[in-house]
Amino acid sequence: MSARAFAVFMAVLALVGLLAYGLISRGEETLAAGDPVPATELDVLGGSGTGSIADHEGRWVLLNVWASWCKPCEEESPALQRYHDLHAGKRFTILGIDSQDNTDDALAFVERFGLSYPQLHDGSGEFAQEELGTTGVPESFLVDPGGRVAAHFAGPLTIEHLEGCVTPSVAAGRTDLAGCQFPGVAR
Amino acid sequence: MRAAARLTLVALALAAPAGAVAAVEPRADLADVSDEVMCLVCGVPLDQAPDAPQAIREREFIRGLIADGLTKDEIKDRLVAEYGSEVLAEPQTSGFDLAAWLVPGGAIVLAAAGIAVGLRRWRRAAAAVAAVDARRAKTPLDPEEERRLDADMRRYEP
Repeated sequence: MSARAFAVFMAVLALVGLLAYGLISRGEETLAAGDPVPATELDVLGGSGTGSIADHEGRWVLLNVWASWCKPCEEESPALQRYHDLHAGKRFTILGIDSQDNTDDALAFVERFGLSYPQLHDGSGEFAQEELGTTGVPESFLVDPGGRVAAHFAGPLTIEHLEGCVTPSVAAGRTDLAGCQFPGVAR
Repeated sequence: MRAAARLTLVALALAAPAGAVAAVEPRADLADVSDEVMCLVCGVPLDQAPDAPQAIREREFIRGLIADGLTKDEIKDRLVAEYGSEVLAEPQTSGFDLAAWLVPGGAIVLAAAGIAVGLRRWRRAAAAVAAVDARRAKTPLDPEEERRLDADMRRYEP
């Protein structure tokens, strides 16, 4: 191979490599129904140690991605806490993922709304955006006891949405979204 | 004696500000930090970010750290601890981020090497043509030899 041909080959290889990197670094698509939720360890918000979805294996989990600077998150937080008060137990819990947020601001938000369900801190937003595929906040995923996505919701949740869509799944032990009117996309 | 005393006083007067400067680092400035960190939600450097809620919170966080007397590097370290390395506007010099420094530098080095090689070949070809022209002037060739020589020389032309 002549020197010129080798140089052209290397230039083409570099260009292809750059294109591939650009495609890969665009991020993942949002998790779909049936996809396993990554059991990535995240820092406990305002505490020591780490936690993940795996800590709640065997229970239905409403994974809620939020941030203290997010106005719709303020709207849905009272509904989430009320729903947690009514239904949390051996079969169900809510797990908050505080994303792209400052710890002190997040803790102030938790205290302001009296949120008592577990909270993990995803400061860089990498877990939410790259692994869950979220495109904003708030977004929520209903996760079955096996750790797989049962449904995905984009936007603030209300108590009516939660009672109408999450309760039947938890009670019946299967995903049952017939007649469910969720905000965003329900799968 | 008086001259020595005067000299000592002058030396002390000059040394005092230098000592004071050495003991106290310049106070960090929001503008100086903002152009080196990102607004994570906006995807632009914080100094260019609009008044998005997350950008506002980030600026407030930085102001608080400045008020606490942290230096710029300490503030950036705290931002990384809160938001991850993605908050820095410049890629880090470790891991895969190192590629952001090495690839452009490597490309420049390769381009310079390519230019140098190309220049050398061009000069060699020019020198060879000049040498042939000089010999032709001294020893004229017959038409057949001229034709063969031109064909050979064309191989060296870019």
